[in-house]
Amino acid sequence: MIRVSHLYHSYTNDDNYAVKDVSFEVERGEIFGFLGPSGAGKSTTQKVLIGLLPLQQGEAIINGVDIRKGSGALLNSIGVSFEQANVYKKLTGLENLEFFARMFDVPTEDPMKVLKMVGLEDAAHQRAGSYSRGMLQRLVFARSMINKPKIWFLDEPTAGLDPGTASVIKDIIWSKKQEGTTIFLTTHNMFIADELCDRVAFITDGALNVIDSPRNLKLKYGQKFVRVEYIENGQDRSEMLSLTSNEDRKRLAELSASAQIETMHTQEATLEQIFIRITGKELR
Amino acid sequence: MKRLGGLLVKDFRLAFRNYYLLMVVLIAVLLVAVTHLVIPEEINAEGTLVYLVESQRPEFQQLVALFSQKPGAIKAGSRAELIEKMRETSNSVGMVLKEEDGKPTVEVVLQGYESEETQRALELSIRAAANFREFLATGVQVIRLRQDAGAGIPFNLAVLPIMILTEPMMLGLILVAAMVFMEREEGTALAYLVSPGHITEYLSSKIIVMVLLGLLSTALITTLTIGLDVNWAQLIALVVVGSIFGTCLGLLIASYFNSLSKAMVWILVVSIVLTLPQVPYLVPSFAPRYLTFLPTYGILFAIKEALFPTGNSAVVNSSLLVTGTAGLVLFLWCVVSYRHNLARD
Repeated sequence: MIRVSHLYHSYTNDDNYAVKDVSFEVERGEIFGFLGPSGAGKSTTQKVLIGLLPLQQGEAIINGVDIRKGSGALLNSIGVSFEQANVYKKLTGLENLEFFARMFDVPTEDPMKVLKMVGLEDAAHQRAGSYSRGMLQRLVFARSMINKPKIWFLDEPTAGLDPGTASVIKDIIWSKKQEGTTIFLTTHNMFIADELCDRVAFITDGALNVIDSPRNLKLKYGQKFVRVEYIENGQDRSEMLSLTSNEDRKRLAELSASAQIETMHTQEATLEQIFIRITGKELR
Repeated sequence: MKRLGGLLVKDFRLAFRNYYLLMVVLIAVLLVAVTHLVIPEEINAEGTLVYLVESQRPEFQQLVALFSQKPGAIKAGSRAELIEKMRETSNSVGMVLKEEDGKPTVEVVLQGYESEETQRALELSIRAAANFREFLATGVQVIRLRQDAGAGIPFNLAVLPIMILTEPMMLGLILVAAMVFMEREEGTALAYLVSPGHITEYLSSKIIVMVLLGLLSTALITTLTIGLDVNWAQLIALVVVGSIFGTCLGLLIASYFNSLSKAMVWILVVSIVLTLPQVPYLVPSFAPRYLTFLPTYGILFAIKEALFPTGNSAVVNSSLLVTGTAGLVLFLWCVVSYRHNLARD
């Protein structure tokens, strides 16, 4: 559904590339996570794919359409949920969705139905300017579904949402995947990526470092850990010990023999830890 | 058409909720009030004469008779009264008919701002009136080279074309720029760009909204000042074409800047330049060529023809052609510019 080959982009039209030699493919019905810290090139890649930036070098085919020849057919088949709450603040939530529904040439969702899906039905007739940040984020997310997109670009879809609402959004993403929607998820939230993505790509400094499933990455790069919480000299303490390190295993034996252990849990390496290990960069 | 309809509904809602409609109606009502209450129907360019007769010499009989027949002339009883009356009317001229060294003398009292030429003209007039009875008796014939130059139109209504040019037509210049910057700041322009909507539809919707607001303003100003007896077909055509021109100019300026504050200098400069032709409109003897090239120069006289028809439709047609062509060129320029600049953060 998405095929990108040797994509480059420079904002200054010189060799100072924001994105360099990026290539990947996303299959139909797949959730593909594009992960990296701020300024890594995630947004630039997405902007090129959705047509907000010109394709300078390389090739990108979306739903069988070369984006260089991008046309109404391409834009009718994609949905974009921006991280920025870019809605008309002087229009109500419902008016916002009704307006965008009229922009498409393909059958669209009932705006009220989409608002209900994201829990905004009670605020449908309120002006978006009176919405909280989380409500605005949900409205942007709802708008991106209005044209029943085949390819769905989501930029930090759960940013600023409370855990309950984030869970609702994740369920919607999951159900759309089941319906065959291809999802390109841009985020620096590794928990969301771990939970939702079939495959993830790590991007830093404009270049891709690795593409694989979260499970394979954990098997390949992860370590098993034990988190031990114990009391020593009347004070609560905790330590994270690797099960593959001889030194740590020795320390675990010592604690088991001498310390007053409160809890002990095995833990897998998180995607964030793997990201740092592979790229050498923090996810900030 | 479905998309354009959607854009129009959205833009009208935004215009209404941002008080554009209220603003247009209030400004129109204010201009009507200014026309009726502030601007005089006539401007007396001749000034008021205040005179004092201190000497009854026979040489003055001719002048006294002339002064007394002059409409609005005031006869003072004393010098103090003459000064007082002159201070009350800033465009007045005073004359004292007196005897000095046994000779009849006319003392001219001026406000102080009069030019040397005015003083000489007054002196000549007085000499002519005092010495040449034949000259005074001669009838004066007036021939007007241009019958459509506005004779007979009250001054407060003669300035209506300026009001219609600066309010309904140039309104779009500022309002549409504000609308575009609001959408860019909200980021909604980006959301539109990832929909199948075209730039031409996006621009057309805004132009249509501004044209309709301009027509509403024109209808209010015209009906509440002149009434219904104008050439509506010509007036509507001129306002439509003029609004398209003004709105496209506002759209074009907005496309090159990130914020309204940065664009405001250019918007103001362009507005001032475009309204400069009101100087030759009010003072036809001053019409430098560079001002007559501006589309707004022709529009002013065309609106005057539409408001006070004399049958000179050529002035309207040529103005429609020039402004319409300029509007079309600006629209095409806008389409190219917005394709490149609308996605810019």
